[in-house]
Amino acid sequence: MKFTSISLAILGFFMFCSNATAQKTGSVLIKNATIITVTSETHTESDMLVVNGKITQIGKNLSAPAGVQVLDASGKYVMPGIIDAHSHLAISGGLNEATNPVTAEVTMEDVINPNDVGMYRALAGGVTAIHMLHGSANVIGGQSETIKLRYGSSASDLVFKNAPRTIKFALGENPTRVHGQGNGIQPRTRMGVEQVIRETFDSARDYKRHRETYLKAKADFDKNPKGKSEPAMVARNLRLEVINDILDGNILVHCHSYRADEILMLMRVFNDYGIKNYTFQHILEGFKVAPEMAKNGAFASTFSDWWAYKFEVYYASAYNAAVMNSYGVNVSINSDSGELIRHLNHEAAKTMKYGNVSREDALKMITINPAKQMGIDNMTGSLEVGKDADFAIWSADPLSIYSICEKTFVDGVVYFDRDKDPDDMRLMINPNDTFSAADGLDSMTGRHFDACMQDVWYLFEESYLDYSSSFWHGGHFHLNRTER
Amino acid sequence: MKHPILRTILSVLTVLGVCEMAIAQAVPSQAFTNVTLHFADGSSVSKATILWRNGNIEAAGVNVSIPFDAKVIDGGDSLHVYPGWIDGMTEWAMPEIPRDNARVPDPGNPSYDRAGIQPHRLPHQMVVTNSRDFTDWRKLGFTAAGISPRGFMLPGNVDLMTIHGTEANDQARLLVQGMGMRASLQSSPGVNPSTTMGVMARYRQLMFDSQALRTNTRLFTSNTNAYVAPEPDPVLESLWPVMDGKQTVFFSADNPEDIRRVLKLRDEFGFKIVIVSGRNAWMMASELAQKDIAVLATLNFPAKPSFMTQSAKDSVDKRTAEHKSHNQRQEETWKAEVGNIKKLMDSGVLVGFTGVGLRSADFNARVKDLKDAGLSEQNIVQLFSTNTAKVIGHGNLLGDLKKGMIAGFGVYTHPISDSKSKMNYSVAFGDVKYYPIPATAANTRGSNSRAQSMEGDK
Repeated sequence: MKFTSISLAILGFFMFCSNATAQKTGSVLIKNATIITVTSETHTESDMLVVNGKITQIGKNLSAPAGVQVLDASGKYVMPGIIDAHSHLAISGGLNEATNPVTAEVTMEDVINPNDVGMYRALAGGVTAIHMLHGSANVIGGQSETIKLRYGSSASDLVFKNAPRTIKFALGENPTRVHGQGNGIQPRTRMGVEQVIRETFDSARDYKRHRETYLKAKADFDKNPKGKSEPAMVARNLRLEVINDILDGNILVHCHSYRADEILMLMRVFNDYGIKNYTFQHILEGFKVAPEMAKNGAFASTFSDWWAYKFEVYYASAYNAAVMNSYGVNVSINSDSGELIRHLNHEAAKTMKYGNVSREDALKMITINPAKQMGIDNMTGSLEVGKDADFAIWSADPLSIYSICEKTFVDGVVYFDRDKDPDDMRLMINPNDTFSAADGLDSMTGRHFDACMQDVWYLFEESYLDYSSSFWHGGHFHLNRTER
Repeated sequence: MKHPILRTILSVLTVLGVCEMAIAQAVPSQAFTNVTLHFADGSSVSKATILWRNGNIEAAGVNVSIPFDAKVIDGGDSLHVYPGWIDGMTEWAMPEIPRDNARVPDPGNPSYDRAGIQPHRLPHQMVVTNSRDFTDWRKLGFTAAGISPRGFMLPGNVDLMTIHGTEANDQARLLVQGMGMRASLQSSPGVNPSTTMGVMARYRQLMFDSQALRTNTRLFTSNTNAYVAPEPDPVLESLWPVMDGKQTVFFSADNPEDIRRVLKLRDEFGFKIVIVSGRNAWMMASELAQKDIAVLATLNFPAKPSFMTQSAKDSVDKRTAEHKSHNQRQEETWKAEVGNIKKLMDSGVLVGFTGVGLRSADFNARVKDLKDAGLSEQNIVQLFSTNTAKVIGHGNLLGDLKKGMIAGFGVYTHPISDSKSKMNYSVAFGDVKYYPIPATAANTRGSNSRAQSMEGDK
């Protein structure tokens, strides 16, 4: 097969990546940079040594061990890799199992799409880890997955090892529209949303009691069957097992929310069931209940300035993040978008303009704060000795509109290098698509719709749905519909 | 024996039994003589004979004794006999998916049927009469197939059937019921599960439920007084052979990510699997070989990109450099997909054929694509015959010209690698179908002028 120069370049890039993937980690010495640790002071004209994927030293006049590449970053800024706590990148076959108000049994881990070029575009914006979330059609949606952007790796190699399990909840209009309005089943109202959560939690506890009783009886029978009857089996229930894991504190909740009343409601419910360490996603009215959030230790992952795309999000403010931050709430700025993720540094900078958030806190909102919300702050999110070497080199202060991400490292391995950036970084090619459609940019030029509701709009169509000839292909749902 | 009536009945039964044996023996054998036999291993023997009776091959080779009752066609030293092609998994003569799928009241809890969970269905009971599928595919050399219903995640069993007669309601015979279980990651739109992750979760829950039903059924039947009778569930019960590893799951998956999802389920539940379609399976050929996973590969390749056609090459090229690079990658991808089967075979993966999604009218063109991709005649013969038979677990029954195997083979005017080759006869489960050769083609067949039909004897 004849290879073009572009193919060779891409092949070379992935040979480089695959070698790195085989090693899993990289080593490098960054010299003479401004090193923004985020969690402690910023070091000027300093060095950072990375050995086998871990930060081993930060200081001046460091020397490279034998064989370790030295990178002169004079005049550049090094900051932790940006972490997006709300992304729908790299998902195959639909992100909304929007057919039931509770679908805790589904998991993003099953549907990681390692070929999504959006990951490479995010790397070009200095992003190193994302939180792949289920959509927001269901009160209790699916389990999420935290991945590192090791673009070119297999789905299993993208997974952020040892990251806690997380799950998506959703309040308000999305679940009430999809299930109540769309299908005439609970929840039709915000009150119904609360009841779905409570009833599901109670069902899970009932199931756990039955299942554990069975398992104990079975163990007793297996140990000494004499004079006993084998107990009838209580089948495993995947959905309720996941709910129990939430109640037992083994899964962190990230809940799509907007209004102050529903935010207070969920905190009451979680207090009733002893659930802690949860994050509200979007949370546009968080500024109204910031003290209560701080009191309950609730986290917030919000937009910088996006609202008015549906009724419940008209009451919003660009000062939202700043207000919550001022009350001591852990706040992150997220993208929920394949486009916005490429410049989350700009989104964070907006909090300085609207609310006078400090430079340090603004940077935390896209690094260590989302890391805490995802439970990975002991491994990444700041530049500290012992942590994973997930970082990016910027041409200038990363909060400047003029700053450009030049290199992005994950585990000490370069996955984006502006100096070696081929035009075409797609991993999978469709032999039959058109030149104009090939880059996939036509669907990500801005926020025209609620990304969390992707794939579910057909539920609201009154037209005749020709389900039998509809299908998933290439990550998109192709619905054939015929107007009545 | 004192009872006269009983004696009479026994006498009659004895006579009837003898008659039945006589009738069975009286089924005449049939043979092609003076033909070249092409075996699945690539060897061939000329001036040979293939003899069969009751649908089974009795001899294939030289020095074959022809029984006195045999009906013989003399191949005139110019006909070539190949094993009958087998479609490892197909939808021949299966009813279309119902299109009346209006929205259901509670899409989270649809019926099994609406959710596309129908593993209990038996395709041999669903064959649509008057379908042209058997006729069309037989004409292309096919004599047997694993037939499965159309559907979504669990459409039903895969039954091994052989083409047989020509009557509208008797075109195929069942050889093996439930040879496999058809499965995919395809959801039934509008109901749970509606996404790939939903399908994955549903497979797991089905296995848990099936396991519990089985356990509780066993307990109940062991002591009906001590246990509550479990609710019968044909869907869950039909998964028991899969749980036991006694029934192979024919799992459709095209790209490496989906194949890995299938492997994940296999690892979790211990399924025996065959990958069906596997359009981009070449990307993980060595992994499949290492894990000893067989593939029933599709020939339903993507359309040849328009810029690769001769007319496009002849026209003025106005593409930018970037556009050309894009097209170059498309061309490489297209060639890789057409080369899928060769790459898999070269890597040591056992590859058979599935015709799901392929029109019979496109079959010969796709075979030509395979040849262009470097597949040899021997590879092609193996792909459609013995390899497919082995993949579906019936290599001892089908796929070669050996004594004891089912008499399914094609008789051609030339070796199949010869572009002039035409099918002259199809023998399926012993049933002979004659295809007249147009005069121009017949004239090129040298000394063979004795083509004749056995159909008149049927």
